[in-house]
Amino acid sequence: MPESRDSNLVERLEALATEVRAASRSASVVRLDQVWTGSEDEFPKSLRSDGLSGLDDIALIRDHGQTYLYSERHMTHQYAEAAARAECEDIRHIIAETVRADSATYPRPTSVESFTEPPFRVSRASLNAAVDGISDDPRYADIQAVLASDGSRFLFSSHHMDPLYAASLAEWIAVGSLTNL
Amino acid sequence: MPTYGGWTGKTLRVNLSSGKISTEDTIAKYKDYLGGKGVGYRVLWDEVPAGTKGFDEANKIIMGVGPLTGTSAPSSGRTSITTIFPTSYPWELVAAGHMGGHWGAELKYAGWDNVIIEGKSEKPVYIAIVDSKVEIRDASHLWGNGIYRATASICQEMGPETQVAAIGQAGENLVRLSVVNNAYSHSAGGVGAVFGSKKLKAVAVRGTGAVRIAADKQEWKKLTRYALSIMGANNNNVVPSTRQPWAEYFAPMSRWTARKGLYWGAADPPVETGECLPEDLNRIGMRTMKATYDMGPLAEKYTVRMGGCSSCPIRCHSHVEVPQMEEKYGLSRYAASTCTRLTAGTSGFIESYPEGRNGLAAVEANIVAEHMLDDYGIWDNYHQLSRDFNYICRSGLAKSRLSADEYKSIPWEKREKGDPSFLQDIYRRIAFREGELGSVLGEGSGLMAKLWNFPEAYFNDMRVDLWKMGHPRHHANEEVGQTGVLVNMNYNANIMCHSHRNFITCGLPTNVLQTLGEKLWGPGAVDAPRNYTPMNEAKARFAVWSLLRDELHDSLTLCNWMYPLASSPLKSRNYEGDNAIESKLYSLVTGDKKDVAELDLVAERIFNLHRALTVRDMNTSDMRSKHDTIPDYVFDDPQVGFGGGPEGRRTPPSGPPPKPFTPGTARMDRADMEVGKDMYYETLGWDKKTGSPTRATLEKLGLKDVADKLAQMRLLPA
Repeated sequence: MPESRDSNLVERLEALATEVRAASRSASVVRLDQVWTGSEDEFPKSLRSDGLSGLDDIALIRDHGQTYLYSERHMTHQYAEAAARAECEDIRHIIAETVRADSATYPRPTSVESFTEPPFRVSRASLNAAVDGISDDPRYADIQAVLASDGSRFLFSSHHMDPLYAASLAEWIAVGSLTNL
Repeated sequence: MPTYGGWTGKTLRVNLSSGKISTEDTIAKYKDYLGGKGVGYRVLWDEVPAGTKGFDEANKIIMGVGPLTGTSAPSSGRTSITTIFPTSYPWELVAAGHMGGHWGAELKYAGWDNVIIEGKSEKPVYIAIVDSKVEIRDASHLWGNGIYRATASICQEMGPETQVAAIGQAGENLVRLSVVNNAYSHSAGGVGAVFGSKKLKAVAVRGTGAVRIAADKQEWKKLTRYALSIMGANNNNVVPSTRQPWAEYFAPMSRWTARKGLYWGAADPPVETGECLPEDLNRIGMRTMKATYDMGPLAEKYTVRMGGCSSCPIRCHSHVEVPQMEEKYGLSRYAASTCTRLTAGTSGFIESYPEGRNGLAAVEANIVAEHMLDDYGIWDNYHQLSRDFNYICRSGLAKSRLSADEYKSIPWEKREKGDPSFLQDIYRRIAFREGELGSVLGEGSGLMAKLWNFPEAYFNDMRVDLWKMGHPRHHANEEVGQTGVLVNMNYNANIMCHSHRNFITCGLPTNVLQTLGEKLWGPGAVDAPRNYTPMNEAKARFAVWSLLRDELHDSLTLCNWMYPLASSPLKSRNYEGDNAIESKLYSLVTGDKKDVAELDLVAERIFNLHRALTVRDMNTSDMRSKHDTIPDYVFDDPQVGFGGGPEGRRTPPSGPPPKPFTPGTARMDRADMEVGKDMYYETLGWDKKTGSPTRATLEKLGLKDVADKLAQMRLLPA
């Protein structure tokens, strides 16, 4: 039997959805505990069940122990992952998880400079401090650096590529591709 | 006889020796070759004797478009100019330059499909086409002028809507590295001096008609909207270059550069490129902010807008306004171009600039170079000209080969300081063949190497980046492994084939590309970037597809820097494009229904005719060892995969040079490439031993007459 939803809950969820959609249009995710006054356990596990039609674009994503909401109408899952990660105060966590994702997905190393751009917007001072010695932290031992010949810094995860490969790809991204029109 | 849409049905023939102007029936003579390069090859086969050289009177110029040009088929504003190329070395062989702009569409509006130019004029002339009225006019008042002034003068004579394809002083002076430009900055490389050899300054066209299409208009509108809906940005890159909320993927090298905070900064008011959702077809033209892609972030404030070619939504031509050009260099502050013609200033003539490649001096240098190339009408040959100059400087050859007086006359101090006005001196020397340096640089790499007795090392210097026959590598192993090598082997000049590259660098992750590639060519066609695996048949099919589609586009005529649409930006389609889009466009426009396999067969006919011409004019059927050569650096140079072009050279991080098939290297393996050639020839139905078309293949393609002629010349494989 489909679960019945009381009208009060549906109203709360619809209001929440409006806020989440507005945030997603602005390229932001919303922390669940900032828009949901109840406990996380009370929040529906899925907004795709009966009685909640019209909310099936609202999706959840977890990062660094927090749950975030976004609207699939305005944001892809991949971007939401990055945006949720960007909310973390631990910059090394942001860097490491992003680098691991890029190294596994494409594969390619990640430019350090890209963390100053949306959705991360890390300041250069904070970025430099976080990058220096990142692989000394046992949690991030796989995060290695490589330098292109123009001085651009890249990071890669040794779980997904070796240094030689990363160096070649970094050089291509930073220098080679620019002269390979 | 059936009536077809798309074609006008008329081919113009102009004899500059006799002055005779005549009309031929395109459909009766050339329909099976479509247009563009296809018609060009057929004319050269039928009418130009074997062994004819580029500047010989017997050489012909075929300016051709196909049935799609002049319609609203997206990205159809191309013209192919086919001829015997004077830069092809040591044999001058068939090749084609192609240009965008608006000339091709105007030719169709005037009622013509092709212009065949033959003979040689005694004095400078230009061909004036106004609808069906064609004249050979005196051009002595234009001769000696650059392309800019020649274009403006002809427009004053014929009307402001005239489209002018002209040569500059470089073409007039038989500088082999020269172009024909239309709309000032849309270039066809390598053909300018052939025009010059015939004393032909320009071909100018004004058309007041329209192109009839066979399709029902609503059906046509539906198809063109569909084509637009699956198109990406420039080079059919289908993901943005930065992380954006609407996109699953991104790629830093993508030409989909539009984003929030990036502007056409010199527009009034500035125009934000913004987020361009793939479903928003009205914003396709905003996707590619090419000025910053080509010249770095500083170019943003100089960009007025993006422009482009007839019927193309992509707009990859940067229109910039750089005010200081007038006072500093005496050049117009306005410039427009794209790709190599907007980056020639930073490609090797000058080693480095204050503030680096993206600094102000570098941006100004690129604009200086653009004006010099486009007004003098010099062909940069995919930066090969710059790299050759760089080579003769760093090797000491410039100092040892030039007389002391000439060497002293060159403003080297400007080069050392990174002063862009150095380029004005060097390009002028080339355009006017001033001195030994000016003469030899414009001859092209092959002839220059002979005249100056370059050492063998030149041919394998990766910073020179030569492939063969005087022309450069163009998207070979460094991007597309064995497929790229096979593609680069085939032509007689700069290959200018982007089919393979557009697919591999579209920005999608490897696993997505592999799924798409498997559907098109079979499993194993696509490797991870710089992580190559041994050769297989799917890679051979990928190479053949790339080349056949290039021939098809240059004959239909469509832009090979956009098509094929093998991928798309739409997640709803799992990023799949439409491999049959060309055949759908062709069938609806012409009424000549062909499916994808049938149209690819026409492309195969055209490509085989190119091969037959090459066999004939090299007077050998042994294409495998004499023509389809691969430079040694592809196999031997440990930096392959680590080199970053003239400025960026980087040795691998540590350890011995990586072997082929090691992640990170783009080195190929000789034995593996021989297997590649075997598979490639087999896919095409060519003889494996020689790499030449067999009688069976030629006859299958309706080229029995070609087979008979080659047999008569003992050039058919046994």
